[in-house]
Amino acid sequence: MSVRLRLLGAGVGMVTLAVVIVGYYMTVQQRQTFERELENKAGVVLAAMAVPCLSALASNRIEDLDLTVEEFQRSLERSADVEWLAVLDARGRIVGHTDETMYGRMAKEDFALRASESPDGLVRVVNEAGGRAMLVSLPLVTRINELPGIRWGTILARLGMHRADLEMEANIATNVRLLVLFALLTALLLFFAVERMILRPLAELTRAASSLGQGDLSARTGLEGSGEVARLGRTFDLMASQLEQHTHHLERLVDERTGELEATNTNLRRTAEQLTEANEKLEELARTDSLTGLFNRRYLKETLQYYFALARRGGRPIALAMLDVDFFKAYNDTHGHPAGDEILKAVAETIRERIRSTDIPCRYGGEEFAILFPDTDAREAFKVAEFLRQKLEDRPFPNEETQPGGVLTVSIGVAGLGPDLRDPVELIQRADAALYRAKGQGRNRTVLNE
Amino acid sequence: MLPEPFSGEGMLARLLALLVLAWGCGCNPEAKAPPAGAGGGGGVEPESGGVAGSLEAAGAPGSRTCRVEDVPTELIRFGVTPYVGTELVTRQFEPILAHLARETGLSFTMVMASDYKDLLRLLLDGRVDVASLSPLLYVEALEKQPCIRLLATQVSAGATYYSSYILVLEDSPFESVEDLEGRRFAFGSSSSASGYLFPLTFLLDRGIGPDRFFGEVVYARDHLDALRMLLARRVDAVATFARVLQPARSAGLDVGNLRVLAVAGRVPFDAMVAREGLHPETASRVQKAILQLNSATREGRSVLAGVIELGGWVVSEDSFYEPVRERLRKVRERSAE
Repeated sequence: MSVRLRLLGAGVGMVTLAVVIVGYYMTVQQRQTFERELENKAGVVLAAMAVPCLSALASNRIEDLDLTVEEFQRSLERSADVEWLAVLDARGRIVGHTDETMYGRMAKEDFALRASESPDGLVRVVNEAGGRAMLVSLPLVTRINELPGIRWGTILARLGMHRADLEMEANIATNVRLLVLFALLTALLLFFAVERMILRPLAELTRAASSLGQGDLSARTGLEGSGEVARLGRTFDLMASQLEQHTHHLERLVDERTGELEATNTNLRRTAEQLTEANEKLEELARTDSLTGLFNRRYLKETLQYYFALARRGGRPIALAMLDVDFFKAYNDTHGHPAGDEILKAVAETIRERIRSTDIPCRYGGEEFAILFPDTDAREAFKVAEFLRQKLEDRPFPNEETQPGGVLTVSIGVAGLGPDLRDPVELIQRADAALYRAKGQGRNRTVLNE
Repeated sequence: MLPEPFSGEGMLARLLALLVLAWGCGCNPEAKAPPAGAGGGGGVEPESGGVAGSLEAAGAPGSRTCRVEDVPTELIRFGVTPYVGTELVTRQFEPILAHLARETGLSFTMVMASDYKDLLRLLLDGRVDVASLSPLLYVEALEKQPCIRLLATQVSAGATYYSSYILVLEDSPFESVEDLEGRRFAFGSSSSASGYLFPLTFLLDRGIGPDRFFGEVVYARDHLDALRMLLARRVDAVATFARVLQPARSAGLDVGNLRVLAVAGRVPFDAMVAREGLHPETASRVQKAILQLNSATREGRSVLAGVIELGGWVVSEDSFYEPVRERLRKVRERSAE
């Protein structure tokens, strides 16, 4: 249930309660006031009657008594509240009455009997079928100061309260209507005041809080004034501002940290790349001969192992050529190792240029080279080897005129994969044997180990 | 404009006076005066020790011990003054004394004094036992003999006061007492509160010294005599008490030709007293009978159906006569000057 509804309910409840309480209080008050007024009125009537009645009774002027009662009755006719007046003598006999038929009787009614005996005036409100009425009495006494005196009799009056009651009810009804109107107006004013001063700002506050909750950090109530709700609104705005500032600060921090992380990542990536590169180089270095740039002996062994296994399983051919520079020791001795190295570089260069791209050239050690021919049988390998030997023979080398024959040559032994070969080492031994034979046959030739 | 007595203010004042009187009579006698008897009957217990039974001097309480006779008296000598003439007073008191005799079992005899002063003398000398004293006489008697005992105060037409009037003839030109300058003025009696003391102080309070102001001042033999002088135009104004008009009517005087020029004051009614020394039991028996006699009962009405409206007697106290005492003091002070 909304605050408005509850407020409205509470307002209506309070108005009803106030009307009931005040209405009841007013009724009681009005009744008391009316009764008091009537009592005063009765008191005045009786007091005015007392003197002539007392005088007439004390002087036994019964004719005066009769006239006194009648005159009072007549003068009171305009205020019709007085229903009857009566005068009792000291014994309680009716000696004067506005109703002529009452003369001479002894008073029998309870109130009259009590009034006759009471030293004080009495007042009693009775509720009878004809409506409410007030009975009043006044003793007629002659006395000095507070001393006992002569009780001449008692005067009684009965005042009808019907008219007073009607008047009172009308008064109460008017008052209650005015009260209801006033209470409703007050409640309405209060409601609007509360609506304007509390509910509307609260709604604004709720809206701002909701927006803020959904992430709109710029949400503000914008409430002004000095009321509690306005203060709450300003506190909220201040809080939202601080939240916004704080969030911005955090975002800046995150941005900064992200930048730093990205920089670190880049560095790391770069380092990794460098590492990879270094590894690759290392790997390259691990399988390459540093002088000639050809594969080294270790790589040859690994590769040969791989192709040997592949050839065995697939029934495919494979061949190996072993190449050795003729009289290289002599050249070295004559021209020095650096010159010998240059020769080795030149031979390697020629090998790389004159073999097929699928062939794998290696420096086997010293002035010895090896060439692995995958997917190539021994004869085909021999042709390639022989072609290579010729190109080497044709190629000019520095100071080759000092070599025997006046030219720098090489000897080559070629072997292919035979069905009897059990492992790659045997292939190397066979090629090596062929090379040895080529050396034995005079060098500068290619020998096929068949 | 209405004449003064009928103007709003005058009516209001009269109404207020009536109300005060009426409410005063409506108080609770039982609650506030415990020693007294029933309110309706007005009876008083003998030897009750209250006001009525007090043996101390009323005028100067405790100043002296009062003499008390050892033996109760069987014969009560009842002193009266012929204040409206011997005949009327006799007619008025005879039935009363007869009633008192019946009620008390005592014998009563009436002693008619020649005037107020005579009655006072008789009382002081112990030659009357009980007397009805005019208020002024009561005050004077107590000055001389404080042991005189106040038994009751008279009630007439339900009142314990009566008025002192200054009367003129209806056809006279006077509108106020000031108009009476150089005229002949009669006091009802030089010993009467209503006929002398109250009118005199009333005049003095207005700066009127009767001896110089009036052309002639006369002291009548009694109130009725004073009235006769006025009606015979031997005087221009008389001071007398209001209720003299009734015996005047009875005496065949033309009271219809009278007019009240001023009310000189409200005077406490006559006091019933017992002489010093009267046996307390006797005094109380008489007092009780007197207090029970009033016109509220049939028997009382027949006894009191005298010439003057006499309603009975009520319990009283000496202070009730203080207004008289006060005026007397004032007059004496002036005489001393």
